[in-house]
Amino acid sequence: MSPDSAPTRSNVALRGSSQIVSEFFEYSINSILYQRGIYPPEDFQIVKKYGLNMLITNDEDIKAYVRKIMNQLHRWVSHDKISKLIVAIISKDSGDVVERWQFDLEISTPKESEDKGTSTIPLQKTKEDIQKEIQAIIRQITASVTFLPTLETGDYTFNVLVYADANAKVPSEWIDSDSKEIQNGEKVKFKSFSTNSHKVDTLVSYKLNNE
Amino acid sequence: MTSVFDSPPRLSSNPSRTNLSYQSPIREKSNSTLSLTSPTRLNVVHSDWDNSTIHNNLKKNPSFTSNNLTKTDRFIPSRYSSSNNRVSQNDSLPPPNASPSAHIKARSQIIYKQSVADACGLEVGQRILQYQPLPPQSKHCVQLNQNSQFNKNSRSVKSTIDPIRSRKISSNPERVLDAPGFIDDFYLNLITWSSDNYLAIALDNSCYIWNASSGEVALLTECDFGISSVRWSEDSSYLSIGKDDGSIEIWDIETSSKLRTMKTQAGIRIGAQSWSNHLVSAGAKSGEIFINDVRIKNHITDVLKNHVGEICGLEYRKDGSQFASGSNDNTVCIWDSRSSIPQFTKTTHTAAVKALAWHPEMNSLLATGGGSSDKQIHFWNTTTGARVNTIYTGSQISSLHWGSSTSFGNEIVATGGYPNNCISVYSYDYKIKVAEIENAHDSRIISGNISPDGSILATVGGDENLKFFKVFNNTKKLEQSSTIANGKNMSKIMTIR
Repeated sequence: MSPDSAPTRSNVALRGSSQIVSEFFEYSINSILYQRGIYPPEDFQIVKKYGLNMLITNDEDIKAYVRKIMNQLHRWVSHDKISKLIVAIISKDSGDVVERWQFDLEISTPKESEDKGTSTIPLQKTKEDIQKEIQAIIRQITASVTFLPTLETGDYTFNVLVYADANAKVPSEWIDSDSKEIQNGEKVKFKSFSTNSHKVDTLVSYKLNNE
Repeated sequence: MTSVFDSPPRLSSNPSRTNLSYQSPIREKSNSTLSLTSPTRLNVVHSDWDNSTIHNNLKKNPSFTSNNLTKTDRFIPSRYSSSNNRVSQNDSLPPPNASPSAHIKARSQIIYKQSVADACGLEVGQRILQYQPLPPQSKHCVQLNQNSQFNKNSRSVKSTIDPIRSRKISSNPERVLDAPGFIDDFYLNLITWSSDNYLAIALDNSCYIWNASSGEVALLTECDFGISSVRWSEDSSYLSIGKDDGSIEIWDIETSSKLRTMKTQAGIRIGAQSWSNHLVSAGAKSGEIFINDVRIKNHITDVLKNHVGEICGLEYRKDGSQFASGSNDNTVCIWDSRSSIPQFTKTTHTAAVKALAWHPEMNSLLATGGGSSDKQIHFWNTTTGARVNTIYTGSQISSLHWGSSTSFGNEIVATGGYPNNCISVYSYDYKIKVAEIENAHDSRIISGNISPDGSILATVGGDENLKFFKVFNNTKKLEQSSTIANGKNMSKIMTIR
């Protein structure tokens, strides 16, 4: 009856989409930090998000650190300047990358011009749909602890990398880096989620324990 | 573009000279084919350059032009490409009027870039950026470690540091005694501490017994020769005194009487002795080791001639089946007590080996310490002859004694000389110095001896002081007393002659 008004309210515009994406990044990083024991469990508190109990750090320093990264990420995402976000988990002793979480970000151009009235419903995702997809990924991240090698709490630290466009504005805190790939690592691909304008793939690669 | 081209020729030094070379065909060979084939290029040059300066330079050294004539062709295109790189990085295409080769080069460069990027799995025009600031350290982590409740996380590092803090030994001696006339000679062993808590010390040619329990001092004997070594028997009933003339006196401590004098053929001083039951092995300055059986008249049962330098360390293993000898010839020999040829001869040390210590529990673990030019403690497996470990101490080692602490387990204490005459305690498992007493003596420490309960180290130095330091805390009282009891029983059975 009102195909143009009702869906648009629940629809997600580009700005909202980048908001969702960067929020997802923030929660995933927090989950990884908690699940992989980069910081002890005491540093985290439970918040409700995506219909799940999510763990978010409550340590002021870590919060500020993640916040700074997230602000910049959000700026990049909304200007479509990055294609990958990497969370590399690094051994404090050797500096080796032991785990590499990769989030691929794709811009999916919505085909709004073709079909306006009839097929808007399958094309345009609602917030609920997106949330369900994100929920599934977060669950997978949580479950990944079962197959990933055990990491002793406190022995590891992390680095955040992005694959940015060459013409992106880069603040001075960000420096050029290598890709921190893991040689001959195992790779596990997770589910992906997509908004109307973005698609995010999640992938973890890790070093096999017995090598 | 013109601005780029304008600047170089105005310089009068080297750069302009090289630039000069491609001007030459225009001035002198303007009619040649060279200039005709590529007129556009030459026109550019012509318009950009100040002819007068070049002409002057030409006049100054005409030979220059002929030499560099061949470079003409090569130089111009390279200037095009370099200027392009500088002006705009994104658009690496040469200007439309550049030579075809320059275009080809620029194109192939782009293709090359792309293929390299593809091979690296990168997209062209992409940067990998890392957030540079380091992630914060968790504060909880630190606190938890201090509480040592969850210190699983960084045990490997923490656990070795924390005990060092707790492992403190007092740098003040428990007691200081005067030792006037003590001979400052590294190769002699002039103090010995018995399991009955008597400490015997030789000062010049007299021997004193200090009762460590009561603090009384008694003169045992004054010899006609200088004393070069003293040693208690295992059961602490007898004291053997080695002298400069090569003879050994056996004294009964209970009655303070001399039981016998054993002469060796060597006739030179006995620097080291060690007891095993009724056997006294004595190392002479000649490098010979005499195995004496105190019970029989012809007391020398064996003469071991392997060393070529003065014997300054001799130590039986607790069970008596092996013994080690250290010598001024920088070697350590490990002997089977039944054999007269050494099981192993170790030449790893680079200085005289005086300090020898068998581990009280691990039978085949021997520690040996080298002298002033060696400064190493080597650990040996005496069954296989393998060197198990090495600790560099940084000073001459005059004695080694095993001990243990609750935080580190096995430890070894070394007494040293120059530079700071220190007593150092090393952890055997971690191979690190866990405690030290610097400047324990004003002069180098000549000898060290551990008390029967294994806690006090008696050291005597060139400063003629006898000092007592508490270096180990946990004493092996029970075990020690039992061995004493055993020794007492044995002494009743064992008689000399």
